[in-house]
Amino acid sequence: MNEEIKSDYCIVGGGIAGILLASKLASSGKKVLMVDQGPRFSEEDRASMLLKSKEDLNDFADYNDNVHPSVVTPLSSASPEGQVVEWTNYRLFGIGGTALHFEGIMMRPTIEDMSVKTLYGYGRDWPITYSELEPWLLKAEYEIGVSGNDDNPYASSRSKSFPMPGHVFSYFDSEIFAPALKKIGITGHSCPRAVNSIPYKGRSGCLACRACKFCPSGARYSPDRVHVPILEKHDNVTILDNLSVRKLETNSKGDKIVAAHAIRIQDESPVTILAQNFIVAMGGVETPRLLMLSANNGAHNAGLGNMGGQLGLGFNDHDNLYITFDTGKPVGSRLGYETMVSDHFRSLNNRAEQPTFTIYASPAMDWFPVGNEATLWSSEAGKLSFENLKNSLPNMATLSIMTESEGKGILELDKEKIDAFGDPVAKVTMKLTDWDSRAYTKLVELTPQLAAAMKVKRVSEVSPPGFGFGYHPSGATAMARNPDEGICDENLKVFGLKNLHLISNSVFPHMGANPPTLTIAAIALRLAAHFEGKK
Amino acid sequence: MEKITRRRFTIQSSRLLAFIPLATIMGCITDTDSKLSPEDALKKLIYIIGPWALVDQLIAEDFAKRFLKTNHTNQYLPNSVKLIQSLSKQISEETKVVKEIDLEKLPKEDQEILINLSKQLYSFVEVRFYVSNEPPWGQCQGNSKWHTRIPK
Repeated sequence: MNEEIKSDYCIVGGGIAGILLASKLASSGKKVLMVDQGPRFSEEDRASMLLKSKEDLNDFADYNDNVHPSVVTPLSSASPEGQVVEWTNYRLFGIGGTALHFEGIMMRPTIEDMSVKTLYGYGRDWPITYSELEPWLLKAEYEIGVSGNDDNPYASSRSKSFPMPGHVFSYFDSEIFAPALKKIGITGHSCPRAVNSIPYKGRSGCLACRACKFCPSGARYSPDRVHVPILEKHDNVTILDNLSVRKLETNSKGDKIVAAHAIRIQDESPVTILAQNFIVAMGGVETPRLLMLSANNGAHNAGLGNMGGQLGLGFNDHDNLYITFDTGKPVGSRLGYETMVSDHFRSLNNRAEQPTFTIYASPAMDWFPVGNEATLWSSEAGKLSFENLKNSLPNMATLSIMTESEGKGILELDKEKIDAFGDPVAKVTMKLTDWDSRAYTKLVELTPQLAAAMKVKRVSEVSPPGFGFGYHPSGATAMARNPDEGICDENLKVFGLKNLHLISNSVFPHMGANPPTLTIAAIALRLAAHFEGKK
Repeated sequence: MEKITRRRFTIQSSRLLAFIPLATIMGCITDTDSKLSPEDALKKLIYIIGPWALVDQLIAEDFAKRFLKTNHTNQYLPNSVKLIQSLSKQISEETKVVKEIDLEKLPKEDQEILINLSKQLYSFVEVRFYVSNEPPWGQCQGNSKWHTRIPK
């Protein structure tokens, strides 16, 4: 029997965007339904995952390891002509979404990040400016709890300080990294984090457990821990987990969504959701895919809102490049994350010539599997010295950069591969352009300067360019001024549909070298205000 | 009875390998080396190349036990007995702990396996934390300035 659920708002996707939006709509008194394909994870689940990771020697244990096989929708990656660029993915399914395991880096975009087409001739401009977004970035910082200092000389303006101070710099930052950066004319500054440096809104400050993915202390923000309990106090809010929305149905005129058709993961029973407003908040891959799967025979025959043929275009992600150092001296410990970064190359950079990037460095011990370099560097002259290997490990540090990319990827439906319910999966074809590759070239140039400034003993080669783990898929349903440039308008309403909105990094026309989470949270709060007529 | 005692001796020897002079142990069990199971041989390898101090025998045993249950072992198990035999030929009588291995005295294939095992072993956060005397992963330190300490 087909179950029917009625609501005022139906939010498809229970990640940080959907949860923040729901938390604001909850107080409106209207009925809010939020559904997610994955489960709700309990504190006991987190504790067992942590223990099991030790038992299984699995340093990469994660939330989706042991979920129902239908929960995780696979995807495929194709190589563009003449290139091998594999695009994998690091997203999570479940209440809390990818923010369940995110590192909590909450950098803002810069003014320039939002106008790259006009200023530098690549990518796409946002239809809103930084000054329009800034109040929402600030609200998001206070809503989530972001630690940071006003010490970033490269940042675009902010109207108020962070809600709590930044984390104290580590020994490595103060004594090794910052002095080295200074020698080559770069300023290191605090890294804004959704990790409490002091107790905040009833949550603990960081206790240095160093297992941030599961954050035993609760100091790192996770939407399921902070905002879902607020939602659960409202009688007008319903949260359904393990419910997979398969298709959105339009009316015969094609100007309104009338239903979302879903399937329960556990027993595959069908559910029809009827709502006044539908909001798709399924992240950078599944959001465009749902619009494609919802294509009909009318105005939306190429996918919902795809009148201008833009659906799936401009898919983007960050490239992350790494170097390992043997500094020749002990580098100390981490809290589980970096406390210092530099936005130098996000600001003082000729963007027409090369991408911007953020630069980080920290002791390697608690996060980077340095066994490879340590072994190779300890096997010289035909001997493998375990004494050297053990002595060198506490001296190892890694430096990484997160680079901006041009956004020439394409997301489409795979004609050959289907998911557990028989629907085509998303196929991502990622293209690394010559311009993208120049971040790699720049880091290759920079490495000996940094190595000399840090007086290191050994340095690895820079990891090859590519799109690695696919941390930040974005751009495939961009917000734009008209359907020839994107899929939704500046208020995130899908073109041609009165009651369908999108909220995820898929709406980013362009992504700078900053992780997207703060911006996602900001536009979620902005959308909530739009619904409430407060914007 | 005799069989049980010998079996116990063999098991005990393999557990202790990393903590007493290797050559002596090898001398003791030379006859049984080739009779070691691949699993016991791999455990021996982990004891030999791992970072564990003599007093941390139980930690090493616990680690090796868990390592053998992972899917990382497939590339090492088929060659572990042979590799142990190759290694036994180059450890001197005076050696108390294995500080260095002369790769050139090992067949090429064994060199590769040994290097890979070392890369694998020292890539585990648990092993890295052991080396640097860090408390276990996930154990709260209750000190937000813990990372500012001057390392020894």
